[in-house]
Amino acid sequence: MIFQFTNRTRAITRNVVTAIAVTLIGVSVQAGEVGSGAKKFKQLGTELPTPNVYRDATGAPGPNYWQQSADYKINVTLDEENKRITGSETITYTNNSPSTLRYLWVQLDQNRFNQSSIERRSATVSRANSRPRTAGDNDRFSYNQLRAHQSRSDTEHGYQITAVKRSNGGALTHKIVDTMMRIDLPAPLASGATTNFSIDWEYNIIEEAALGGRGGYERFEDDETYIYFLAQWFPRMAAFTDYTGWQHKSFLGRGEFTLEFGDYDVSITVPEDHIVSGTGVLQNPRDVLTAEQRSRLDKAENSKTPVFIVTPEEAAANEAEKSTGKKTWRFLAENVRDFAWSSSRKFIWDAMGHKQDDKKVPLVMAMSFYPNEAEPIWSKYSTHSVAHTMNVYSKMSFAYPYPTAQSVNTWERGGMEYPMITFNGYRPTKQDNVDERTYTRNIKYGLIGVIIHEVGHIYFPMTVNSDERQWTWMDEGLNTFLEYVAELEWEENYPAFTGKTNLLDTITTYMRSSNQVPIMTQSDSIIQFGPNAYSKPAAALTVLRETVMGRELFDHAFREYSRRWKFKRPTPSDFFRTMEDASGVDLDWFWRGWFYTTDHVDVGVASVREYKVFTGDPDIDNPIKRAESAANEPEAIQQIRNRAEGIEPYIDGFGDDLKDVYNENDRFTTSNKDRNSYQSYLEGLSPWQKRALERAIEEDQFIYFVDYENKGGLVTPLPVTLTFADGSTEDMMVPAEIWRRDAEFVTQMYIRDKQVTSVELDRAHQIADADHRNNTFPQKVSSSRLKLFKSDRNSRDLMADLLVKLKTKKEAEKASEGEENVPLASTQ
Amino acid sequence: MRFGKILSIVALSTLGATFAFQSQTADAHRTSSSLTTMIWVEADQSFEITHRLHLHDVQQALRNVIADPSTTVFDIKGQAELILYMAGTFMAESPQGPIILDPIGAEVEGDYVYVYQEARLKALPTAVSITDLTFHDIYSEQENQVNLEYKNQVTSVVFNASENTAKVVKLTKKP
Repeated sequence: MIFQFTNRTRAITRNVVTAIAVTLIGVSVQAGEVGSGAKKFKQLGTELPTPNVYRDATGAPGPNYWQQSADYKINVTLDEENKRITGSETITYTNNSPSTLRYLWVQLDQNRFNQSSIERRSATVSRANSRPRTAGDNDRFSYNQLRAHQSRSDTEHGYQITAVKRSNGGALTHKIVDTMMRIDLPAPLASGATTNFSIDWEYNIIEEAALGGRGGYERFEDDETYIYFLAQWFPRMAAFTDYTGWQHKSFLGRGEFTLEFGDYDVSITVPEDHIVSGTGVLQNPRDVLTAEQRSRLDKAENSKTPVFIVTPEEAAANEAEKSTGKKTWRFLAENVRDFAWSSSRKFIWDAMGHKQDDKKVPLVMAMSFYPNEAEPIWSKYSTHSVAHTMNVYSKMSFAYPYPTAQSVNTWERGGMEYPMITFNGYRPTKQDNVDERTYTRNIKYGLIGVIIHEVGHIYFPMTVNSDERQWTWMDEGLNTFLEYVAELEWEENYPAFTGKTNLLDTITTYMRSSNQVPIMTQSDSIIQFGPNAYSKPAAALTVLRETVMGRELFDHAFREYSRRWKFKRPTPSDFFRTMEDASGVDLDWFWRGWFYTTDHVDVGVASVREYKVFTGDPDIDNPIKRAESAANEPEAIQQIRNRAEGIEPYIDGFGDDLKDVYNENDRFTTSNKDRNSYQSYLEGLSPWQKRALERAIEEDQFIYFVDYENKGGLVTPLPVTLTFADGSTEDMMVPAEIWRRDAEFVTQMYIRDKQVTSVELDRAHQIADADHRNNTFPQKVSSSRLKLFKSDRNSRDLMADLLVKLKTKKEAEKASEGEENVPLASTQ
Repeated sequence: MRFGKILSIVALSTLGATFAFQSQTADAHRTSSSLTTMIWVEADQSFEITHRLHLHDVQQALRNVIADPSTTVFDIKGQAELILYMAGTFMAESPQGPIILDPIGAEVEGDYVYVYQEARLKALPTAVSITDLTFHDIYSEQENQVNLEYKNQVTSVVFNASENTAKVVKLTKKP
């Protein structure tokens, strides 16, 4: 009987194991820290809030779940000449909470642009040019800083609240606290009661390019035209919740918001040649559109391609005309949590009816608004991207819940979302020497991606109303995951992340970094915001769907989460619990590892050992052992060379005199003692053991012991591929629970009919493994990027020559011109 | 929300004037950034250094600051200009002495430019002091992250444009 383990080697080693071996005590070669598995698989107990009557233990809204509601009736006028809006609103607020409210809080997000805001007063600037040859006290003042400074100096920003009144016209006491305003109620608002009040306000619209923000105006200098996009533009009711009370943390520009659902009736008065895009459905097309435009809209409802409502030529004519009359556009929006709008005489408008299998909203008008500067890429891709987003997101969650879905081009880059309307960037570039605008690959896929992302936000968080001021990942992460699903269904090989298709190959750099915080970090304290709140949660959910749960279970659970929290306000625990509750899969280890730690995935195959079951019959086994020994232990090189040199062994010089039984038989020769021992062994076996042995001998299978190591810390399923001697392969998924006792080093046994020639982990790159160099046994030769580059001698030599020439030239130039320096004068 | 990025020319001027490019990053989705991996290769007793820079940042920097407007990183001359520039912005030394970085080359792949350097040493230093000022003089919000990898452990250091001091990573030889 032999039961030996070998150290990691470059080839699978063969050992033998007799039938007796199955009763042997296994020997562990290596083991992780005692209890390491228990730590990774500890259930999320104290980390999650205790279930209650508002949010239950399944992750669903509890029997007493409540949320407030706020309905708005708003009149607003755009003063284009002064870049200013004036508005008045009546808010109908219903207290569905069990608490009595003595005051209400309203958000005034425009106040962040005020000189006295917390954001402004706490802003810091970069200092000192730090390039070595100019290092010193070279503080800088950039054009962007100069423009922002001048914009603030020229124009006062922030709300001017001109009236806060009761429904009977009496004034309401109010107090502004940075970006929040407290309104004191004349009488406590009891649970279940409703109150009405009105607010009048005005403010100067920011130039978005100067101050940065989610709304403002964009100026086109060539022809002095503008696009206005109004976001977070009216006093909005702050959220009042069961988990944090009033959500009235000041807006510092990053953690966005959560709001209450309600119905909106908004009348927007703008110059008469403007086209307005807004949350909701236009109520008075006869007042603001021509008969031709209305006819085109009707036609668009049944079109499978976008139809121009306002053509590029008509938009160009509007821009040139600049009429001064006014028109009022009225929009109604039901059950939305916000309202945004955009207005410009520059707008081209196209639309396409999107049919969906939903009784409540069978037709959605997918629409795009953009200036001629956005052509030709916007008319080609924008509205199709909107429609595609709805196809994919509806499949993954619920039917698109609103009658319109709009994409508006309001800036060069980036995007922002509101109910039924999104502001999106990416435009082609105009070359000086070419009449046509052209766009790069990055611009094209950037545009499609940002539209999918922002329209996707209409589902998350505009409908599934998570709280971004607390947990950015809940909408940005979930939405980036769904955006990724949609991008890969747009076309194959979509360059979704840093030009690559597989997110799980690009996230590993971030996950291996040492300067991280867990995903479950409050929005304002996140380090490396993009990877933390967008990409890593998207990678986590991709691993969850494609590897841990499988598409069927994941999609079912994700749809259940979406259904449960549609038009409600979930927290992280509601998501975690629902995904487990609906799938029947324990995922506490997954949430703990991916969301509460900064561990990364790095698993490897440490060792593989091969065995066969021998008969135990020495007359059968020993010849085999002899052959294997010869194969594994080649003849000593000294012996071979002695023979080659004609060195005669000493004993050969004496005939047979110095030879005995040991010279005639090697260590594999069967003796009677061996045979007797075998017979005793057979007699000692019980009947079932004999049957098992006979069957194993007949089947003649290969037995493998495979060691896996976990270097990254994050426990993960193991996608294992066995390659057999005949070239065939077998894929299997080892569940993450393999790590439940020892999270650092584990061993599995595989029994196969065919001989295995290699064992590979994660060949499809589906677990976000950070280092694939240790994933194959025997190891594959792999080279770093640098080594691969160095292998091209020609280009390296060419570069070396060029560097010498260029360096010499630069040094000569510097010597002739004197050292360049930048003189900056201090006033002191 | 997704963030955008806008480039605009910046003039620095009190008595004289100098020009640089500046990214507006108050709401930048992609701030100007780079990632450098510095890996100790035991077999070669060397550091392999791979800088990953955004193609767009490199092109703007080459054309407007480092070289002349006709320069592109897609040809070898532009790559050489970039390598020479980075020889003055990325530096390393150890308590045992200076770490000489040999330029290997550069290449463009997708949205990124990769610049390669190598440092052959006699032995693993006890610590590495790193300074990465790449593009700090060009983009005000430039953020450079250096991941130093030794024995499968990664230590990250980040250099924002507002700081020019070296950062030290200690290396302890494992048994």
